[in-house]
Amino acid sequence: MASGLPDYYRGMDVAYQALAEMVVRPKYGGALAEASELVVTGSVLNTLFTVAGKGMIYGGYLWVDYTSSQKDSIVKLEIDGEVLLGESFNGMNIYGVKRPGSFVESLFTFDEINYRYAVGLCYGITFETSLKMHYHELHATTPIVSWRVIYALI
Amino acid sequence: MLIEVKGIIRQAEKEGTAVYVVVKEGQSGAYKRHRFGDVSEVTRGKIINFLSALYDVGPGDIVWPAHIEV
Repeated sequence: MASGLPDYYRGMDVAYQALAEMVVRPKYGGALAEASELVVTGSVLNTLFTVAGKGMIYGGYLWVDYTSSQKDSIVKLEIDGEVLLGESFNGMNIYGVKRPGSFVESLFTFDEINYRYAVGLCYGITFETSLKMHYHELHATTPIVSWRVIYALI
Repeated sequence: MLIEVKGIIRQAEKEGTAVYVVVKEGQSGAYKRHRFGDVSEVTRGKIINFLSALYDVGPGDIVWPAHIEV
C-alpha cells in the first residue's frame, strides 16, 4: 500500500493512496463519423440520421447551399427521445447564437445573398439510448442538406 | 470470441436509408462498423444472425446491451 499501511488494514481506496499524480479520463470507443447529404422534403421534419446506443458527440456541422432562402428552417437534435430546442438560422443570427458551446448548436454561416447556411454541434453532448438529427424545412422547398457528425459509442 | 453490439445507425443517403451496426470485437476491444441490409430488414434477430455469420460465432456470443433498441 502506497501509504505504508499493510494491505489488510483497508482495501483499495483511491482517495487514500499517496500517488504522485493520477490521470482520469472517460473511456469511449473509437470515433465514428456520419457524413451524408439528402434532398429534404419541403415543410416537414426530415430525419437525417439516427443512432441507437450510448455515447457522446465530439462535434459536427450541417450546411445548406441552395437557390432560395432557408432562413426559417431549423436543425433539431433529439437525444434519448427528447427533441432539444432548435432555433431557426435566422433566429440564431438575430440573437447571436454563434459561440461554439454556448448552445446545442451554433451558427457558422448565415448568407442571405448566396443562400448558404451552416450550424455546428456542441462538443460533449452525451446520449444514453439514442441520438437523432432532424432538419425541419419551413419554406416548402427541397434543398440539399449535408452533414458531418463525429461521435463515440461506449 | 464475444461480440458486443455498440450501436445501430440509420442514415439517409442518396440511394435510400443505410443501416450500420457498430460492434466491439472480443479481446482486442476494437470497434468495427458493418453495413447491414435494407432498413426494412432491421430486427434484433436478423442483426444477431448477420453478426453470427460474419464472425462465425454462435448467437450466444453476441452481447446485446439492454439500452440498444432497434
